[in-house]
Amino acid sequence: MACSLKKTNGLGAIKSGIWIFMDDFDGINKPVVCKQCKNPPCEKACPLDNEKPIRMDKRTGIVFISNDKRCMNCYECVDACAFGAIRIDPEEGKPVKCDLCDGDPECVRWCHFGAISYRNQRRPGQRITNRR
Amino acid sequence: MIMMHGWVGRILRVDLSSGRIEKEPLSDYLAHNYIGGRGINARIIYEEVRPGVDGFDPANLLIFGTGPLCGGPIAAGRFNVTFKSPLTNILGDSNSGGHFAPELKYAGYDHIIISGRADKPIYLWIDNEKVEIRDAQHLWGKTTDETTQMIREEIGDSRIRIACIGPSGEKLVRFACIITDLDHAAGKMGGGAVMGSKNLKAIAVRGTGTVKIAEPEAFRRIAKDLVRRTIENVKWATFSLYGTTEITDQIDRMGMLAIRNNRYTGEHWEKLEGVSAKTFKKYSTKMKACSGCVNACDMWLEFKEGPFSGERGVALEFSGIAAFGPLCDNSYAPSIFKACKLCNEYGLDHLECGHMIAAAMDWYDLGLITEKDTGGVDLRWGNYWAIIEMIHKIARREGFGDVLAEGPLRAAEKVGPGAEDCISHAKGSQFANEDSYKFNRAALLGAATSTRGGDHLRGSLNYFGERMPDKSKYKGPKIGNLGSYEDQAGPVYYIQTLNTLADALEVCKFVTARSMQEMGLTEMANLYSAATGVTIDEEELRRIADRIWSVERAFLVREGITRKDDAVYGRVTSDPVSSGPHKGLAHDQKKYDKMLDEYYDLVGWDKKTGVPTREKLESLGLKDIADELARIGKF
Repeated sequence: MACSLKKTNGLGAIKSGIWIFMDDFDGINKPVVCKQCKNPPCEKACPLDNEKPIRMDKRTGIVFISNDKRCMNCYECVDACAFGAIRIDPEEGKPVKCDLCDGDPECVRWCHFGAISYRNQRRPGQRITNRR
Repeated sequence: MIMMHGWVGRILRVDLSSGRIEKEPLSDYLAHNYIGGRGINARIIYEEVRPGVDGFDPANLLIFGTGPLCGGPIAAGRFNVTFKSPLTNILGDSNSGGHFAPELKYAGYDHIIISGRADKPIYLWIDNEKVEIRDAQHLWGKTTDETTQMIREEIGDSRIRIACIGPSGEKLVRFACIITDLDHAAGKMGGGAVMGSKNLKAIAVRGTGTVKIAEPEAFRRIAKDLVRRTIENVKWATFSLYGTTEITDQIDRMGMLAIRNNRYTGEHWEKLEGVSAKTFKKYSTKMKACSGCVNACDMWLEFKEGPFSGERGVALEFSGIAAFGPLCDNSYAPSIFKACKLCNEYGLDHLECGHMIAAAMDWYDLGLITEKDTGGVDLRWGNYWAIIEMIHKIARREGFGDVLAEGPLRAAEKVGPGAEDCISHAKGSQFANEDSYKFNRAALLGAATSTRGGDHLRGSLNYFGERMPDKSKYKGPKIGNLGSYEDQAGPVYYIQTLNTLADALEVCKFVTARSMQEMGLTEMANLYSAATGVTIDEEELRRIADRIWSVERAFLVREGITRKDDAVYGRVTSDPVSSGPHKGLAHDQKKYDKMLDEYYDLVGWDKKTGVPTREKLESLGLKDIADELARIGKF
């Protein structure tokens, strides 16, 4: 909800870039969020060429969806994601995904328990450093 | 349609008799004067259900209502169901958490009004704009778990939200409830039975829209601040760890736990260990939360050994523990969980059900009923197998269960003379842990004047002196003092205001000042203003609460409720405290009457009749209600 409040100025679980898989019967709540793959299959799946609407920022490594008018809502990227992290906004028909709020995720700001935290990506042998 | 913020601005009207489905706009008058949830529901039921209508009559309405904050990240995922109660024959309304209410708002509806009766079992499928009535004959007789599972499979979406009834609702058990998401219940007053009488098995919702917020920046700031303060509040630490189970220990420490159907009280219960919060915590693997809440007070329990091995889920609340535990003199924790879980599966209100079984055990002990009446069930104190057997019987209306399924007063009448003395109630409805009411007169007043009958969620005051939230106004050594009748009306009125607003905005009472948490009237006003764009202050909120309270009271008055009904009957008032340091503390009718006078003055009701006065109604803009009450000769 915090996510949708920031991104759309409204409340709507479906518009959120992070969503929770809920199984009431087994009591499982599992957050689903973009893994920010290094070799994003969603980017590869996008049929458009150069400056794809869904692409990885070369500098930060964040995979994001731009406001590019060329996006024709083919949902190839939605299908390509193995984690189900890209969802479809039913009102506007656009794919929605987490873009880490340009390095200051709203969900992390709301979570007071440390369940969601924002860290640098770890490479083999590298120590974890906390950004915030 | 005018663009609305906070509210989505639409009411869904479904007439089951004709199958007609209509969508109408939510009027500004209703939204601005009654906020939402319980408020708007109360106004609609006052206007559309005529006096004297039976709870099971097709003319009765079933109104689901959400509030303007509903769906927000501030524990505001609740909805209210309002109907004419088959249990008490007065206003019935009931509140539930879970994830159903936000989903309903995302689908684009603030309220659902259901009228009439379908000629065969059906369920309602709301998929955003598309609303359809579907056949539910294959679901009839299924438990709430099975129903939820089957509807999700049928529609092919595991994320839809479902409010449904179990077999007890179909059998018209007078305290059947409506279950959402397996373990959240709109429990009291028999909403499930009303749903069953309409042949409506379930309401399934999928919502993919958004709720617009008028001032998102301000809303974010206030909500975020409130969430932080909620977590920093001293109450949060225990509450998020133990949920409502911790209340058992708290109340026992004060010596107020009701034992053996209110026979004994005043001292520490020697069997408490078995049902204490720590015992339940041993079986708990995680905590679960309703939509947008940081309190996470639902305990997920799993039992891996003993006779109830394999049982798991969220079902336990304090009201269930108090009812199936000390009230039945049962201290085996897994059996209490099993009883609550069974109630959820059958769609029974575990509070009322536990109290009925405790009363049956009492009758059995007194010799009013024998094993012959109960069909061989040995209703000794503490026999948990008998409790479980009785739940099955009540839900299926078999044998003696059929008698108990009629609710406290009707069952007592069938059992015979002397049976009613064992039942503590106000206006025909029972409430959790009656024995604290023997000490706390403010709570007694709250239960007696509640607009839906005996209740611990409308006005019951659990504060003592300095801990009152609004210290500037309600300060004094006598507030909430044990046994004192003085200075209690003001705080009770204040808590009722808070609870009414929490129900109208549809925020959880466990994050409001009523439960010693952070959300007071000021925060409510700020959130409301930011979400809806309608600027409002504390005073106006108080007026709205007064208005809702008066409309509800007017509904009761029209049904024939007078001053003499504003009382609590049974052991709470007839028996003094039996042991402990407060031994002999007894109810004083004279002092109680004085306290009631004081309260009537505050809320603006006539002292002789208990009818809201014309001046009060007109000052709240309710001239039409004043005129109607005058027409039927109420003043």
